[in-house]
Amino acid sequence: MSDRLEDKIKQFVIENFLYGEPEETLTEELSFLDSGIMDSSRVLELILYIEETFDIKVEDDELTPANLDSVKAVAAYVRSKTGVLA
Amino acid sequence: MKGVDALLADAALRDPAKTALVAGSRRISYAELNRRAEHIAARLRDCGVTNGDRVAVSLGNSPENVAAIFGILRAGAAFCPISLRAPDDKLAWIVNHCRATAIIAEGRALAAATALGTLTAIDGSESALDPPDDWCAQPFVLHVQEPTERLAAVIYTSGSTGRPKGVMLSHANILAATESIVTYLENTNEDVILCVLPLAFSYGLSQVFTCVLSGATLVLEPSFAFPPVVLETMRREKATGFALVPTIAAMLARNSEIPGAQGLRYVTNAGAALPVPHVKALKSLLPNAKIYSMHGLTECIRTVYLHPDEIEQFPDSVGRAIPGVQIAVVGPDDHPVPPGVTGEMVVAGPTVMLGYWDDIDATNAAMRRGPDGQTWLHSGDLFRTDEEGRCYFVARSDDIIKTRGEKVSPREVENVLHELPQVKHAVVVGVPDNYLGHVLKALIVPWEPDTLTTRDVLKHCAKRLEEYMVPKFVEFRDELPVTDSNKIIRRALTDRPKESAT
Repeated sequence: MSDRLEDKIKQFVIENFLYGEPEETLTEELSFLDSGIMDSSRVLELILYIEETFDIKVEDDELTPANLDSVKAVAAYVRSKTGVLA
Repeated sequence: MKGVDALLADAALRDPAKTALVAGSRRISYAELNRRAEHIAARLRDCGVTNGDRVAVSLGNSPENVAAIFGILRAGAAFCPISLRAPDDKLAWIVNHCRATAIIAEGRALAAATALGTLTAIDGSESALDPPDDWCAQPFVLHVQEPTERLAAVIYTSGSTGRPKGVMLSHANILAATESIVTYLENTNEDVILCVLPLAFSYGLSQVFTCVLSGATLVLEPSFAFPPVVLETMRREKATGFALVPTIAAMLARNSEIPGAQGLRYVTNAGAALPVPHVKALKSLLPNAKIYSMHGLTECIRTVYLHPDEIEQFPDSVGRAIPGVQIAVVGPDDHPVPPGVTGEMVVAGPTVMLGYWDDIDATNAAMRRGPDGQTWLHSGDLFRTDEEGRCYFVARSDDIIKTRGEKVSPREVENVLHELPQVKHAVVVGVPDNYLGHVLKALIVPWEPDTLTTRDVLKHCAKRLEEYMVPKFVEFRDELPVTDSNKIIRRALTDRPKESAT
């Protein structure tokens, strides 16, 4: 598997949230909320995944669409928290 | 006696300019909502919808959804809510089963319904249902039966046989439950009720009716996926009431403070028991809000609630019967059991459904005459009571698994698993989960080892089942415990320690 942050996150979303639909539908910009991929229990799962995988703490006021509503947004958010450039 | 649709007409007469609905930047007055409902009713009548017909609704949490529900009722028909996330097969099964003559839908559901070609599909997306500016409601009078018997809704819920059952609620059922709820929540027209629960879910739907009966404002959000967005809406709209399920309570409990929630007069919880630590967290986060812990089922909408003054002393109880409804906890002989003894909750009163659509066997099994001569609805939920009559949820009496506040029949999921040719045996069990009540785990014995992956199984399930029915865990086994007659012993599987295989 690629080490690219976007690919890692995409893989998580595909394996955990997307098994009903073709993977091609998950573009990096696709809004999780608008596409119905995300709901409140899944956001919890996504947060746990991000916290464990990237060893960061997601603050409550960071649970926004700007940070978490697409593969691209999550990757940018993780980069901003860790300073990782991968 | 008036029907449920009269709640909206009355509210529009009383205070036409009052805001009925808020959704994002949209604000819709009672007069406008009523006009929209009248327009939908006229469109449905033009399409040939007539008294007693069923009209399905598969829409998001939008003003169009609320207008559609009242429009369908105004047209003399019954509405049948279908989750926007229901797979195409399930939508097709439901509209065929209740013989819906029309559907108001959007997105994938609209495409799926249109493809069926068996019913009128109406686009219910934003602006597609807008009445033309010069449209005037033509008054028409419905010649219908008394509302006690008149069908208002058919709401599908999981049945233990694996086939969904269509709960038939009359206008009188909905009115009685709504009046009871408004009474104990003390709703007034000054309330601003925030709803993030899907309106296709009975608890979400009841927010609509309690709001319209009390002439309050309903603020719709698509979900609680991004709490800061919802909490900002709560602050901006000065919400006074908020309906929770335990997942949402868990998200709230993560906060150290919730500045936007200080105007909350009450929060309610239903769907699954609120874990005691969450009760304590909510108490300290929302010192001004009363916390109502409740229990309900689609078949009678709501059964019991705990008076908010008792929540600290009895945080694990869901309280006593709601006003106007009788409940009892009974043993196998249908006689009440003493306090402390587990029995099945049974319900009698004006909120109890008419029966299950086209399913006389299931209806007769659920609605039985008790020793007192009354007909009692058997909930399938096991409870015990304390000396003062407060109820405590124990478990389901059947194999139904409660997850995310929804009921799942393991058989329905197992039937779908058996569609996979590689599957020899499949059993679905519930694994306890702090947030979701239970989560589903599929135990699968394949004909040949290593012919199937977790991903194959989940992919197949997601295509065929609603999202909450898709197992969280999949475990492959060489064998499963069976009886002498080769029947799988489900009970022997539910108590095993949890293992995660995803």
